[in-house]
Amino acid sequence: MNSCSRSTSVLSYLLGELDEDERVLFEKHLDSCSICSDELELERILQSRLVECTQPDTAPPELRLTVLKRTLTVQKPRFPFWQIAVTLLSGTAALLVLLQVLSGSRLLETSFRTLIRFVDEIFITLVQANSLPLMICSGIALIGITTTVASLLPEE
Amino acid sequence: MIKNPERLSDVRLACEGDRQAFGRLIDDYGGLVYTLLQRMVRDNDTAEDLAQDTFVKAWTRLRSLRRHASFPSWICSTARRTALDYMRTIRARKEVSMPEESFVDTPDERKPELSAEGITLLEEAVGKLSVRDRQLITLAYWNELSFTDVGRIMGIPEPNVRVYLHRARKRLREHLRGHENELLQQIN
Repeated sequence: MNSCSRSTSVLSYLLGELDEDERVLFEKHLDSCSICSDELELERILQSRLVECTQPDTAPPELRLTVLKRTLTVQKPRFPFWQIAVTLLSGTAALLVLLQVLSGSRLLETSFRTLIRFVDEIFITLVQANSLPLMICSGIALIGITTTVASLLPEE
Repeated sequence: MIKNPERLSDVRLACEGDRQAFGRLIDDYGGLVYTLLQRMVRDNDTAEDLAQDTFVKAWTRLRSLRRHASFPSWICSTARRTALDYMRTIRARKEVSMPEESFVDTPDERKPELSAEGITLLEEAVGKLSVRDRQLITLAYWNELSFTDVGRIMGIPEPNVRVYLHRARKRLREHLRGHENELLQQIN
């Protein structure tokens, strides 16, 4: 069987992987090499057949109905827990800064304690729920919020 | 990426809990999800069950979808993970042999128009590829997904998609060796 050492570049050429110089050189080679031009023709046919045979089938007819029926028994789309937690904690931190500006450090201290108690409650709930990733996230958030708010407290 | 404004609106509505909009998304993307799963698990009934699981899972997690236009790659990614979980479970139970090892072709009754000899030949050859190569070829040649999307779904960087696709195509050619003339006759 005839072969050409450059026929290995045919697929790279077809997939647009050759740089400009290589491409020009290979196109010149194609003009004079029937092995490579036949190979290119075959790869092109293969590509168009692949496009044809890999197009999606139609969905099973009862898929929509079955899925919609099943969604009735599960929760509606909801925000992931971390989004709620981050939003809640950032909001509270922002509120505390505002309170510090408006009312002085006494109120901030009280709010800080309330916040710690609140985060602590969440953490305990997560421990009881045995959700390790959420516990870790919550722990990090607790440390983060404690450090942030503590840095805002006035020094004695 | 979704460019059709109606589809984008359906994704947005579904994220807000609209079941009808979600139903339309199932109609639009059910075929793709089913095909991807069918190519991975090589069994029509299992692919159908997994397609249901994929969409139910997607319904509960729609809020975590940050960019509505990315819904096609997001749903494919969910389908892929669902299939991989299933395959891991099966492997653990050792009830059936793994699809990577099993090259027994399951005739697809949904594609009678593709029964031409060349397509069958090609489908057989695709069926002999590994699960990863089959996923790659299925996703890479689907018009709505860019190589970046394919990379995101498969968890690989975009440049690697090209490299893996190149290798998959080479392996496909190996499986087709000796049948080149039949393929050429198809076009003439």
